[in-house]
Amino acid sequence: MKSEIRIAGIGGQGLVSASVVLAEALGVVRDFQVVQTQFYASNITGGASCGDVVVADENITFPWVLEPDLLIALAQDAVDGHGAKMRPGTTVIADDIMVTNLSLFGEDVTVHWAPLTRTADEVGSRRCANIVALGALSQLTGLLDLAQVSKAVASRAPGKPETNRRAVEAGYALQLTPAEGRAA
Amino acid sequence: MTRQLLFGNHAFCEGAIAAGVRFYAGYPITPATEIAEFMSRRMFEVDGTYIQMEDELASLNAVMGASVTGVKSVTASAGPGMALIQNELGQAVVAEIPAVVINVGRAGPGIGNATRSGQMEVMQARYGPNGECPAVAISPATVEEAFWLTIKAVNLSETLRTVVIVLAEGLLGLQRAVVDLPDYSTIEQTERPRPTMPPSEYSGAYIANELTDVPPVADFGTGYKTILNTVGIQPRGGGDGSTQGGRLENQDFTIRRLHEKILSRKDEVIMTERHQTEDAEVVYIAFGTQAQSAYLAMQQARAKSVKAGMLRLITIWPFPEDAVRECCAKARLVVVPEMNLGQVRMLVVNALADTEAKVVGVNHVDSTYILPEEILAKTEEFLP
Repeated sequence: MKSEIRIAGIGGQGLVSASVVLAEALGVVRDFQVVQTQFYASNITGGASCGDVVVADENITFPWVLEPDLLIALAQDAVDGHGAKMRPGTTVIADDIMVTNLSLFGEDVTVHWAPLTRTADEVGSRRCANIVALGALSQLTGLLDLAQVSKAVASRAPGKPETNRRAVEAGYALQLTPAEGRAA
Repeated sequence: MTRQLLFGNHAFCEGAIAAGVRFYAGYPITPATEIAEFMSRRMFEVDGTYIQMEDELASLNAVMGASVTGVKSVTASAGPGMALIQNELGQAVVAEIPAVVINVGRAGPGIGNATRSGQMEVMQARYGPNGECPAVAISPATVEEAFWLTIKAVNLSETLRTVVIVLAEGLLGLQRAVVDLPDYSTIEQTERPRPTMPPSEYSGAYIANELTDVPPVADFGTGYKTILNTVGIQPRGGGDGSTQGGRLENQDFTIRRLHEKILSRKDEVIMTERHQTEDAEVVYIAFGTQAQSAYLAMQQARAKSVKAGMLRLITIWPFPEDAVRECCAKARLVVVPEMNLGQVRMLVVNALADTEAKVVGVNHVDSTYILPEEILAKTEEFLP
């Protein structure tokens, strides 16, 4: 098993932090090999940014995400920047208010609209949309159960533990269904 | 063993601590900032000392000051910070003060591009300081290796009484990977040679008779009269200028000795990793994180029945020219992928000057990593 996961959006959305939590969950809570890398612009907020995780059940020779199997798109910039790299058969979780145009994805890419930001608002802080996304990713892929992802959230994102706990649970409870069509 | 998700920049710190480092002075600079930040906590946890200095020059000066008391000491920097410290770096080398400098490479000249990565200080590591200054530089490829090679760097700096540069990259410093960290009490630590005679018979820290000598040095504050020669290569030896100091043609002898004490210990200093080079007609030579692309390219070339091999340079300085020659003995084509415009390629060309091998590069200066496909395309373009 080898998977390349990219959590992308704009600086300030906690994308790198989310990828670190995910790497902790997969590599330490579970027993996979993982490498986490990141890209961000020098501005603190705004600008394209992403956190990447390569996970495998054997030694990872190449640590960089080239063609993600799974893309979490928390902003339209993520789709614009990475959409073309998605191969047939790969999966996208797209935030249903921050992403508006899916036309870059081929019909053979499975796109799930997900109310990540809206769920974070309901939980009480838009800033935890990244944690909602981790819950949704865990449930969708089956790579992590709720206890495993929650444990990593608690150890790697210890600020506001109650908000983050509710965010990951709400994300895990989201029922994602593939989006029809590619027009915005 | 402790399994943890370890940050590249923290791996350097943990390696340093495992090797016995108890002094850190630094000035934060992207992409090395987390080293200073993490050390500011870790040094206190291990009863060490952390000082945030006013700039990079002061940092390496503080490191020298700490090291002469016998405390293993480290600083880290990047880009323009590495440019600034070249004077101090040469001074530590000529005064033979053990120190480790970690360079987490960014891209571009001057201030460059802080958040982007590069391998652009290969030549700086060797030729940055003035005055034919020797270099020891080693380059880790993974987070786990960042830990182990920092230990190696500290140990080499002690046994050789010189500065060892950990030549890393932003791509590595800002990467996290799962690493099993050992119990630090099991880590082998080496110490600089110290005098065994009583203080009254000690004639200073530069008493050498052979070019290969690493003279014993007493720690400041231990009752020995030790002057670490800030003037560098002026006559050294017995304080009275007698032949006590051995050789008196000091400039020639000392400059040659500074190099020879390293070169005569190649077995200890030079590390490489070879894959399928025995029959290789195409050899990929790479270092740091880009070696991973070269390794994949080698596997993909072999799958296409190209006799490809791969040499990873772990030690960059002294340059492993013997390993290059051995691995390229049957090579018709050598491809050097690196995140600069051909600094290692130049060294490979030099090492293979007497052979027929064609040496070409795959060069990125946009901070994106080199893809195996690019190395293969270059192979197909040039394979005779």
